[in-house]
Amino acid sequence: MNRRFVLPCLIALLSALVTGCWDQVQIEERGFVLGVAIDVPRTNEAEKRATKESPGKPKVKERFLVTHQLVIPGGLIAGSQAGDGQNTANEAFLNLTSEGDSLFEVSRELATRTSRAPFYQHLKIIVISEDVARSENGFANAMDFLLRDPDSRRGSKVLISKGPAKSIIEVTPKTEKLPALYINQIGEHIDRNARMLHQVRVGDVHEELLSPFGFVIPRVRAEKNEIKMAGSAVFSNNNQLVGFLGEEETEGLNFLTGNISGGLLKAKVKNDLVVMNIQGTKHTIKQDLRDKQRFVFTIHIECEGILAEAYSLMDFLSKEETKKLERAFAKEIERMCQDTLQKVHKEMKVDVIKLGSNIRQKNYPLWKKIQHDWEDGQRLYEKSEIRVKAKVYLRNIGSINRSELDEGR
Amino acid sequence: MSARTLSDKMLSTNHMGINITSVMIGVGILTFPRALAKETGGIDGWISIVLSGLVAFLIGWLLAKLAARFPRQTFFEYTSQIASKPVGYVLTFLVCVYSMLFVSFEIRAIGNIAKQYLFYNTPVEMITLSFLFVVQYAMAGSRISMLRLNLLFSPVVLVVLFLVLLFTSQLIEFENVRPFFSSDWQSLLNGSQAVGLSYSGFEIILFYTMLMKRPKEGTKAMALGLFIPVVLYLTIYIFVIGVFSAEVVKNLTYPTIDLAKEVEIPGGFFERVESIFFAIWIMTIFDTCMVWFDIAIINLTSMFRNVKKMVWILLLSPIIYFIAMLPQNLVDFFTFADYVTYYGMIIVYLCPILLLVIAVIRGVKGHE
Repeated sequence: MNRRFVLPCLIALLSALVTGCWDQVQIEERGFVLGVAIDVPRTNEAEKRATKESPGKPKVKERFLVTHQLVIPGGLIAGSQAGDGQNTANEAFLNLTSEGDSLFEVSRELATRTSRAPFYQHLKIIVISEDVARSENGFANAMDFLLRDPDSRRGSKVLISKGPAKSIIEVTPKTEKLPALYINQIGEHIDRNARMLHQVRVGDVHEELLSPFGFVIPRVRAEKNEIKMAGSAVFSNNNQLVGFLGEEETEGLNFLTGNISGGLLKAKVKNDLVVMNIQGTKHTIKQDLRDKQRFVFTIHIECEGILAEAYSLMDFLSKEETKKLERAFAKEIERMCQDTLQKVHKEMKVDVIKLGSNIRQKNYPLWKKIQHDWEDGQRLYEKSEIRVKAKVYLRNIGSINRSELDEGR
Repeated sequence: MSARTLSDKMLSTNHMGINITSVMIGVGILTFPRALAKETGGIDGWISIVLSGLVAFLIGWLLAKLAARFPRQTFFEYTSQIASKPVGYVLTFLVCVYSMLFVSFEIRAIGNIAKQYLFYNTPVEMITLSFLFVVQYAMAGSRISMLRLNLLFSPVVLVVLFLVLLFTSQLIEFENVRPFFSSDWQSLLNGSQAVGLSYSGFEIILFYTMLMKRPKEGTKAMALGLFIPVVLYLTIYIFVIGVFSAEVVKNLTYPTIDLAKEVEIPGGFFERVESIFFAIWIMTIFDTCMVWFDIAIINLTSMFRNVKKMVWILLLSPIIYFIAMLPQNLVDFFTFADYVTYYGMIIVYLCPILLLVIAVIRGVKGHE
């Protein structure tokens, strides 16, 4: 009896448990999304059509025009013939644009249009257009799906585009097969140029959205076959885009926040140009918090580097001349920082240098009292004074001293 | 020869410590940073971790002392001896309920989290059921070999956790960690309570001391068993706060999973390190489930000597499964977890300590 009872039970059980897999997805069925671009729709035609189809649908404040960049694995193989049929251009990517009230809606809408359903685990970059970022709560709303979805990663990079975001991931770079990877790679060149911000990850954005301070995100612009990642987008503490910083202003900001890992510094000595290759910086903030209505912050910047290019004909091996040169560079840093401060402190009034965070870290009891009066309320940030002191160490002059003689000029 | 096999079948002190660690590391490791950050609002949560670790050790020490008083007796036997047979029956039965609730909670956690991150279309019921089957299978064998699995798994678990922490260390930002000492005592105590829920598990010493080679060293095993989780929780908490900042941690459902998801191995040839993290985490839950299920069975067999172990396994599984399916959503599930732990505090912390007091006063002692 025992065997007659147990055996059918076992068979029934095993056939239920072992035979199938609910979540089996073949790798060919996955549409690996590498980049997402989020725009505001240019026309409201799609919305009208949607309202016509279902007049009772709830009205929303904003709609998103989302472009997904999917990989076509066949196009990645070098020299592969366009044997798959339709892929005659031999492109390795496919951009799909769709419009909807929410990002999730768009993502699911794509499933009706492509054989490979979007899969976000390998998402590299997220580009959000200026218009979305300027709208009220637009930026936070656009980020919510990408943060909440257990499928997406907090390591994807976020960029703000000047102009439509779609055009950023639609560039066709000559050097790479996939635009998203090309953009991602450019973001890693922070050690080459100080005029771009450090990469901002989705996780960092979540941190900033929850923090009481303003923040910056790299700005990106599209040209025909390439993009340019320089400058930065400034967000106020209610997470709305308030403006952009230019390239030099971004460099100044990087000096102020101590986020420079490499780059160049130009200065004029005796009416001729000298250029330094920055190799490292250090920055310390001294705070004087005695007068509540007028906090004084002194940012000390120390910068070291080597001479990269010099049109000025000086004896770079002499001590006095080097001192003069260092002073010229230091002055240039101070000027750049002052320009940046003029914009973010006086015009935009956004604490992107994170001085508030500095108070919070060093003087928590005081911060507890003033935290609502920092950027809002009594506007203590606006009333505070920020001083910049720079010091430059020129470590090396390169392989030569002079490239031509003085008499030659 | 026979003496040797007997001692082989017993737990050494270190093995007992590892058992305690394996049972303690469970679901709590994923969620405790959120609860702690919510209460303390910063890095100061580490004080809460140490504080509740010390309290846990104090309780654990008392439990170990109680169990060591009756070296070769089961929980049912010594509670009956201390406080009469009816009390023994009731208390042992309540302990069985506690351990069953614990198994239910753990298998449901597996179902929830595996569905959220790994199997999007598989029903929770199915994931939970298949996991329960594996636990049943582990139960069907001998007790000692089951406990040896803890010994086998623990190095793997610790090494993978160490690697995850190593690779996320570059993401730590100092400004997230400061300011130090910003919380008041009240919030630190609340934090200790919050993290205390993740410390439950060391009470297994009450039931396994009878299997130890040297029952007197139960307190030593307790020290080792608690030391590893405290250090682990401390590092995880500091890393989670350093990487995400306190404000973000408060808003992450499972901060530790997100920490594992942050890992990026340079070179880009291996993304999604969290898959390995999930594997080891499921191993730790498996450990926890086995041990709790086994405790339910130890206690039942000690009360009803003529019913076989297999019968209990098959009888309890449907009940455990049914209870596991009761919470309707994530909020229900977390509330369920809290209730189980509070219930456990009375049944396996408070009652045994009272028993110890009575035993000391009355001078009740077990026989070798």
